[in-house]
Amino acid sequence: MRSLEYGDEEVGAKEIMFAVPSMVIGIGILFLPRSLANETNFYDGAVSLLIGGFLAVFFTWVNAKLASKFPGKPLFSFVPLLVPKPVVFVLKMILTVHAMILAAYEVRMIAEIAKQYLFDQTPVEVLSVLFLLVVVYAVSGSRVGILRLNILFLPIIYCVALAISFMNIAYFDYHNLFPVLTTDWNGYVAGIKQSFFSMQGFAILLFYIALMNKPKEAPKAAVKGMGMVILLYLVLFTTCIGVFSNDSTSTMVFPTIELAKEIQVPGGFFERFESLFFTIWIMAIFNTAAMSLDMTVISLRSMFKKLKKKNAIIIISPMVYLICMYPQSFIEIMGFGKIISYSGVLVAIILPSILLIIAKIRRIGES
Amino acid sequence: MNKWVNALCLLLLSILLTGCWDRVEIEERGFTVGVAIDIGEDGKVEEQKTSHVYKGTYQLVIPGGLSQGSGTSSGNLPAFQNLSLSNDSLFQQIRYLAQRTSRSLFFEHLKMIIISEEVAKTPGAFANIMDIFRRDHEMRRGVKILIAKGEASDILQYNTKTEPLPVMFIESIVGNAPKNPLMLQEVRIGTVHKFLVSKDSFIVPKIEIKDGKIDVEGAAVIKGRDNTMADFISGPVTEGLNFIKGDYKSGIVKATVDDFMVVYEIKYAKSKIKVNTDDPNHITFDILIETEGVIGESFGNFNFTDKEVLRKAEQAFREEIKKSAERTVKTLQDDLKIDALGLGDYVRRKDYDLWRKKLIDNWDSGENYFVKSDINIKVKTIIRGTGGIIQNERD
Repeated sequence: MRSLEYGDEEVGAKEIMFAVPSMVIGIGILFLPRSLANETNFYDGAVSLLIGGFLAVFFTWVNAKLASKFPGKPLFSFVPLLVPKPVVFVLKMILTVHAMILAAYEVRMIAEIAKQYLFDQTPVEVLSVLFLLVVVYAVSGSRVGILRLNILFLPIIYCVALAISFMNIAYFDYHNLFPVLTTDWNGYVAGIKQSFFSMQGFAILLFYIALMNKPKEAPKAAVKGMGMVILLYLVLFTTCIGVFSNDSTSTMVFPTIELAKEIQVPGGFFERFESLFFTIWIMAIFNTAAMSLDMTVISLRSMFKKLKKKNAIIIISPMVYLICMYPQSFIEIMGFGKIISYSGVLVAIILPSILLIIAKIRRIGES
Repeated sequence: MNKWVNALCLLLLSILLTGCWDRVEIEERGFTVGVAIDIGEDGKVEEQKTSHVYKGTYQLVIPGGLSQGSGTSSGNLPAFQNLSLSNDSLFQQIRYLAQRTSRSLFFEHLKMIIISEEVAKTPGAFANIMDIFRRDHEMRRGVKILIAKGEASDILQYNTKTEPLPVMFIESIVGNAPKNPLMLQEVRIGTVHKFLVSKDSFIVPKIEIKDGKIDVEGAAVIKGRDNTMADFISGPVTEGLNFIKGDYKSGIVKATVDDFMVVYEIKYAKSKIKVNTDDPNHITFDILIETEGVIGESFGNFNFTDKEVLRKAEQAFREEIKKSAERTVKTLQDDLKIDALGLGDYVRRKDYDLWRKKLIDNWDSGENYFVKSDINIKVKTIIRGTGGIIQNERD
């Protein structure tokens, strides 16, 4: 017996607009200022950030355009129309593995950060499993539920992130931003690569646009969502360079967290602003992890048609946990992040672009 | 039946809720508010890995001693306890001290780190000591840094009637810097981090116990190339430095007008620095110091409504401020040969190519282009008011 029936399993443009930043904002921005500062001089990383952001917006549009060509059809029901069956199977495999590793990476990373800054004695295994259980609970429910949760969480995440920048104004020294444009080309290119990597995750569009009632609005909404991400990244990067200077930013493991630690408001309550920041950021990671796990479930179920959702989750979760416990050190986890970045290029850029070109040439799907 | 099983499961699950690995009761935390680092005695530490042993003194708060007022029982309790230990690793000091106190040391509320002159002058030691205070997650970036003339641990012993904790007392004194131009504005560990990484020279406030009193006039100059302290500068030199850097908040300047003393109370000051890098061997800095203020005290019987008198007074104050700033420049260029003014930063912003190719290793070390540069100082003073009276007696 069901006491409550959920409403329509449909979403509007707003949900998609919020889903993109919710997915993209996660671990990446915590260390992006460091990677950018490493590659570029002074404030020049902003140039890389903007160019990288522009690329991300473009490919977001490609993904959204491709998915919106097939209204109401999830990725794996329209792909067979475009490419032969064996290719579809390989695609499903790649997506399953990619999404699974991504979920594992997010879980492990938040556990590591929580251990380093919040729970000194609690084993990282326990932190991971607790977080994973919460994520599993979210994924077990309605898919639209996750998307609506994004709308609830994202404004809070933005508030705390902008508060961090705002409360650091007293320590902001604009002298740190100058001189401008002193980096060589290699530096900019490396910076673009770093920024683009930290803006990945828009591949979720391929999965979630199928839930939309007006898919035509999807590309515009997705691009808006990506714009929000770029804005936030730019604000946080500017604050980091202005407050810490380029040199010290490049020596910090998580410059964005250090920004939260820098804040000192007299009165006592906000003396430990980073606690508040972590609490909120766990919500950001939660959204990312929930959507990646959901992606894994969708991909896996597309390979085994008879698999029930609950069973799929029961199969996947232990695997995610094992993968997330595999790296031994922080360096190895960062290596993990690199693998995800490169496989993300394959999943979110190369494949959708090829598929979109095929769809255009063969005139399949709505124009 | 099923309902009962479910209920039992939920009840059993609640057992898990009590588990918390990181539970530390607030009564068990040893809130450390101040740290003082001195050179420790050599050869007494087992398994010494570096050439220096540091003596760390940690000031812990005793909450019982803080509560004053109606209670009579806690009246005589001291509010703090200082623990000292020598070791080459500060982290090990902190761990070993846990054996000697009922409360484990907790650094989230650390207010200041005082480093002795001897330590700061040991090559590499300053940066090494700063490492743990930047690396550890408990440390915050707002901790103030001071350099002590003499033993740093003595300062944490300094007892006052007005504040229960020596650290609180020193913190209030350092916080008075905007009112006393002979003091340097407080320096936070976040700022120090920036300078340690960029290898620019910088200055840190000085503290010392002089004739039984705390004295915070003056500053310590840290040479950026090796992050080692060069020397202290006196209060008046610090004043000139504050003028040039634009850190001068408020203060007074005494001058003589027609053989009588007149005091100028500066309410607002700022500085503008322009740099010309056309000739690297003679980089020119044009520094314009602008001040605004009122007449604070006048010994001669001047009529300050007279423009001529006012102009004369302004002229006298200009000379004084200029003299003060030029003395600082002279000290830094001729004696210390270190750019504690942060002028290198202006060159870097103006001409990055020149900086990268030529000056980066030769600014205030090596060829020392800083000493070769010309620093011109101009002063603008405005007297906004004369105070409550115009003349101190009728003509």
